[in-house]
Amino acid sequence: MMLLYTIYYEVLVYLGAQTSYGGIMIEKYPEFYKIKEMFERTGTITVDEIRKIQKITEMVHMEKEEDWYFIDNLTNYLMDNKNYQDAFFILNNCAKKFKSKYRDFFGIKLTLVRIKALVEDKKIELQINPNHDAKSYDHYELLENGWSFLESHLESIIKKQDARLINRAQEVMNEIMMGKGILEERFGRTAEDQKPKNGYGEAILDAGVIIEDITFESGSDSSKGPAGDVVAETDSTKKVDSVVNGDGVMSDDKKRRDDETVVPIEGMPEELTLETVTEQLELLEGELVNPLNDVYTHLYILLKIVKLQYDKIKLLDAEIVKKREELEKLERIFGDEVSLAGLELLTNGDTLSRKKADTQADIDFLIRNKDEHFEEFIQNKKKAQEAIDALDRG
Amino acid sequence: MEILEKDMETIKKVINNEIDIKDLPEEEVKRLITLCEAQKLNMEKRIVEKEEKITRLESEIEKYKNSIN
Repeated sequence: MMLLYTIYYEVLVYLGAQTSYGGIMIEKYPEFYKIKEMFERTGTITVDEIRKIQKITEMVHMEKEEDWYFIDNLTNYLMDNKNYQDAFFILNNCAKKFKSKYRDFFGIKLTLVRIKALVEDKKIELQINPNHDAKSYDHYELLENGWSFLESHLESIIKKQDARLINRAQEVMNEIMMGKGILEERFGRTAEDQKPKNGYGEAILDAGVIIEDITFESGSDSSKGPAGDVVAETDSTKKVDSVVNGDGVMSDDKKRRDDETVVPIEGMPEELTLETVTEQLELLEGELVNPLNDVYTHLYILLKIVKLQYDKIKLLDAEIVKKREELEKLERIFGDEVSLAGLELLTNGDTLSRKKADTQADIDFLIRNKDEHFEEFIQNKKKAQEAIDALDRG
Repeated sequence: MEILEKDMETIKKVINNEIDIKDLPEEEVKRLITLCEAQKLNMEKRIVEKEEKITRLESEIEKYKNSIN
């Protein structure tokens, strides 16, 4: 193994791929900057891109402040979307590979990911490194054993005297403290005191419990709500799976259930749209605050709201995927600059004599119908560019 | 966490029409309300984030369309 490593290292040195402190340069992976640029522009990232970032951070050393900033934002995004696992893997890689100025920051953030996962009761796999065995602590072990590490990381960061880095580290520490508070509220301050102090109430609201994988299955009989209304009329042949974390951007964009159908609830149209779901949600929110509701009615309305919210999230995810595809298509079309003369040629193909108004109408038509006329559009654009080039040459 | 898991199961059964809300004791219903309200808040936050994503994507798309004007 050492021999292989030595050969690998020598090859890298020969290829000039080394950083000043002996790692592989990130510049050798342009994919990293492509993903970074897309993420910073759109605020979204696909599962495939996350895997690539994970792989790259495992292999390369980074030095620049902008790379640190990107990884910080990306892992914030992953945590906001409850993807603690991928956030953990990326941060773990960076805590080992990044320039030492930023390594302590990633060390602190690793604790944050683990605390957030504990608060949400999500288990995450810890990479087992033969040199550093990261134990899977439960919450009080993590806080008791990890605290001195956090303090030493913070001290090290302060010594770097970088205001931006110090401020960010302080923000992360504040979030860790909040998570610590929630866990202590829920589980008590010591290992012996394991019972929830107050059961529900504010501890649950603070923790933001998420109901995972509620499946709306068909039933042979319809059931009645509190006021004698029908809760859900279902066709026994229909089945709907509603996935809590069905984030179309995080999951494989191409994965769609072919047999996905929608169960109507109380006269809801079979085909849900963003508009209809939003309208229904507004109506139900209005019903929810009715002071005449008893607890049963209140719960009934809440469940309907949560169900519709799941549906809305699925529709929004589909919309996000659609917009990303549209953006990528437009990038291919408009990636190069095309002059007005060239655009006039798009519809005409052989003359520059069209009036601007007519040309604009044609361009608008093509954009509105771009899917249908995509190939034609691309071909005309090429012809237009060739004509412009010919004109320029005189 | 045992209490939460049991309540999640109850919620699933209610949604799937396996049990009627009216058959649940009032105390349990109040607990489920707290759970669902927390869930509702979370979902609202996620919906807002996704709508913001869509707005950002639309803004990028608009920039390209305007580039030909």
